[in-house]
Amino acid sequence: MTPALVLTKVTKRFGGLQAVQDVTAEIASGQITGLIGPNGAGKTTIFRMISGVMRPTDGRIVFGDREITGWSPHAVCRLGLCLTHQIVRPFQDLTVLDNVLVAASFGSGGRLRQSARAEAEAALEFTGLIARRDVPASVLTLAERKRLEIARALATRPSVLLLDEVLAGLNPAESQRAVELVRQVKARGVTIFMIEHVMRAVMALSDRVLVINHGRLIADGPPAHVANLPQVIEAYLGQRLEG
Amino acid sequence: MPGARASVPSAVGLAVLLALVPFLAPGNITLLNLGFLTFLFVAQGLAWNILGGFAGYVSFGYAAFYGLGAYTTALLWLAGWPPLLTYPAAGLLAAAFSLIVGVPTLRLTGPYFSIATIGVGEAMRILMLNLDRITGGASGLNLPTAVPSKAWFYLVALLVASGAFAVAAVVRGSRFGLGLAALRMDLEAAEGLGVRTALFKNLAHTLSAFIVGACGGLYATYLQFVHPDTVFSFTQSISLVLITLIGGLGTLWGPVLGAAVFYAVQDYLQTSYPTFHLLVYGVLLILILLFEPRGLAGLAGRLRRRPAAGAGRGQAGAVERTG
Repeated sequence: MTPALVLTKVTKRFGGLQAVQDVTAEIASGQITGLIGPNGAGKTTIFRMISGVMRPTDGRIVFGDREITGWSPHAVCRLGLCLTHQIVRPFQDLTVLDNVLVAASFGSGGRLRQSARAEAEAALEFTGLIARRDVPASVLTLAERKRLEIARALATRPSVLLLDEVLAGLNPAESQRAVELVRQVKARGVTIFMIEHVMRAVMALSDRVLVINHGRLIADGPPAHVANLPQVIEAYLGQRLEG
Repeated sequence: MPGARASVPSAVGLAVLLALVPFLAPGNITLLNLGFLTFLFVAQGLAWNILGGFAGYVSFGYAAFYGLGAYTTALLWLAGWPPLLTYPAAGLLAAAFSLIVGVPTLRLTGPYFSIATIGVGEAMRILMLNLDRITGGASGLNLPTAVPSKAWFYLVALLVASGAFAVAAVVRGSRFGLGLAALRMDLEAAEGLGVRTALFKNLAHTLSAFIVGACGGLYATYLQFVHPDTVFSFTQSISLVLITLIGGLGTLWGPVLGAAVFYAVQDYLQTSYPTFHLLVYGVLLILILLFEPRGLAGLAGRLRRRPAAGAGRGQAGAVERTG
């Protein structure tokens, strides 16, 4: 099967800082691929380049059969690739339903008002937010806001979903529900590429894990394999003390 | 949108009532003049609110569109066009100019955008003052004196204001309006969900520039005189901001209420105390920003909801939407 997303030597420099260096990877269609690495490794920068918020300094990004390097975010979204933000950003003054309606109205494939509404309601149903549909997004709890991010992203009808730390800040019970939700999204046939710090969740969910450190890809493989690689342990814990 | 839907019958009713005035009091020139100028401000406030209120881009440069519209009409009228035909041309020229200005400046956000628009507005004023071959420069341009009656102007301005209201109501309830509301609250999130933010901002800008340009044209025929320092003045730009803020930023009825109050205050105070109205606006603005950021429209909504707190919930939701 052709991969959903192909990164070729993707590089991002901020002045003298090499945030991401020559990252080459393929994201398999229909799978969950995890992206892990210590803080500041460049994970979010990679997501921002894929979704079009940032333009790579160098390298190519191919989505399906189209090169999307340097496309604007709305165009990438309309093509079927959507990003959820690490720090949730709901439209505070809009109701929960209207928040999702924005996504349903403008996401991939233009829709008429009536079907956009049905789509938005379906996304709320799926994420368990339907009872909160008429409240302003500003009153939601953090866990609900994370769900709203996912509902909005799903309403754009993505074929690839980039999840940036959907579990961060959730308590164990909420976290469990969120993990379940990610599984259900996968079951719908959506390819998932996720950044996550909660190791247990990444290891349990991912079919494959990419590890980056200092902007470079240092490991790529099944979770159990990657977790035992010396360079990965070193990246997280530092070098083994001799003696 | 329940709010917008309920607004349409009341707006139509109000417009019909106001349209009867010239027939009931044909000789009352003061009233017809007051009506004309108020409607002109209503239309412009509604137009400004599409970009400033719905999309959240506060421009201090709309005098450029007003002035361009006024001069377009003036020059075409002098060239022999009938006045009525010059208004769409005035609107179109202003709209074209808004694209030239909007494409670069709308990349800025918040105060940076506002400051850039002050620059554009002032640059236009000075440019027009110095292009005296075309604009008459500091002595202005005298226009033909054969003009229709005050009642005609009153009715045309009412028509323009009603048109602007209809446009604002349609925009607010549409997919386009939803996109504008989204980009106002979070530009990056809106863009990430597929909203073509750059296009939408420019469309909103151009749409409102068209209306303001047509108003400028109407004003030129009404006054039979144009001068760069009046039609391109910073006061003209700031009036639209004040009208909308006083009335209620981003609300449908705000600019209507705001313009009525604004012009009544100005008309009443300007003759007796020439600069006192500025103080009144200043105080009004501070009070509004402190206590009711939704302006008079928000205040009216609050008073209306108090007797029926429970029944008002649907309304409240609708207000939230484009708030």
